[in-house]
Amino acid sequence: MTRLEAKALTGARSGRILFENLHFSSVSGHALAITGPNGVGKSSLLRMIAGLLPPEAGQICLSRKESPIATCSPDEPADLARHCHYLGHRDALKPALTPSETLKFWLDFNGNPAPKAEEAGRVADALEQVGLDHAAHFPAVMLSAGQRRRLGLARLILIRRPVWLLDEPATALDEQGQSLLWTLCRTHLEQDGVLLVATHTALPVPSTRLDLGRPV
Amino acid sequence: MRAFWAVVRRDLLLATRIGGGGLTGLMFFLSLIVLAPFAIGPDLNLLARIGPALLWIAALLSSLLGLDRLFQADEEDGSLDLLQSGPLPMLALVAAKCLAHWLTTGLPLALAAPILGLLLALSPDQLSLMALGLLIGTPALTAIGAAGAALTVSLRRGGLLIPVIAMPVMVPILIFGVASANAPLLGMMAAATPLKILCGLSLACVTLGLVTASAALQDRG
Repeated sequence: MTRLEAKALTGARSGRILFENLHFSSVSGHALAITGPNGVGKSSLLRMIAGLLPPEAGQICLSRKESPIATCSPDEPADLARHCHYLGHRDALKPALTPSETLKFWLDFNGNPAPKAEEAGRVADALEQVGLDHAAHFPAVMLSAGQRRRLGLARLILIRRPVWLLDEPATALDEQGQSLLWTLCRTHLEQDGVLLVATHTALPVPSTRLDLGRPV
Repeated sequence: MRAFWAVVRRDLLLATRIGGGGLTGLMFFLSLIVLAPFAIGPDLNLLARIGPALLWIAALLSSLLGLDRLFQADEEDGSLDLLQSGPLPMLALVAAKCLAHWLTTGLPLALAAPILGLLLALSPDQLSLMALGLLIGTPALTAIGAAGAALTVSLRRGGLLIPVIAMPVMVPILIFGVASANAPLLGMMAAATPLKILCGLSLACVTLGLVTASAALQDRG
């Protein structure tokens, strides 16, 4: 069982406190839906776990079977990031690169341990799972917003990591795309994965709600 | 190390694609130097006298081209977030991006300078010193520019600020670069002295530039 736990977490952006003394815990197999009105700090919380925004105080711990794996704290904000996949509003695509080039780069960049020969197979496999195999060799500039999102999802299944941080993941996806998204999430949860989703709608996967409440 | 080369390879690949802007600097450099003799006239002595200065100013301006997109393109599409949370320390990431930028901008300038120098009636000594000086100096121009690019990464139209931030710091490189290429002409001092100073300046600027750029990117929030 994998567990992500925040203790007395305080987050601020440009000196403005977003949330204070926040406690939550999310275990694998059960998603955590982060809700609340716009501007309350949902995205900032996810960015904090992804190591992009250092917390002001408190810490976030990732543990497996009660033994700690990584911690994110004000002194060590990036330690946890290696175990997380962050999918924000932007899909991190280069318009000039093709989907398979994009995925090969992320695989290479994240130090994939697989031999070179398997690389092409893994990339093709991930593209097929998100239904982009027919577009593998078009530049990403030709993809629609929904297809770009699918390519973003392909990165998550290509490189396995225990924590997924999704920020409004269903945006721009068609009905099929959404059902694909939630199937992938369900598989991730079943494979001992932790899932945090910032959302305004109810999640179609087993989940608990974390309401960040009114903006401070 | 694998991640480092992955970033270098990706940036080189992007530079060769349509709209990637690879070799824009070289084309700009070429146009400036080709136009100069027409504007100045056929006075060969005058051209040889001011040639190194023209080449260095053109190289400096060319290396500033495209710098505004160095980090901004990655910031806008969200890649920078993922690169930042990856296995590379920020300093190594900045170094990888600067290396790719230098390979597509600085290195072609240094290689083209001896050929373009012929248009400015430079002597063979001057031509080789010019190329050597640019090889030593252009990494510093890239690194200083990168610091400017990192400081302005989240500003729209921040590209206009980069020359303002970077140019004053580039002045010493310019002075000693031109001095080394002019040394054979003036005969006052050996080229070795300004070249050694240029080496030292370049090392210092590369270090400071990369550290500044990575600190600025780290704190963009």
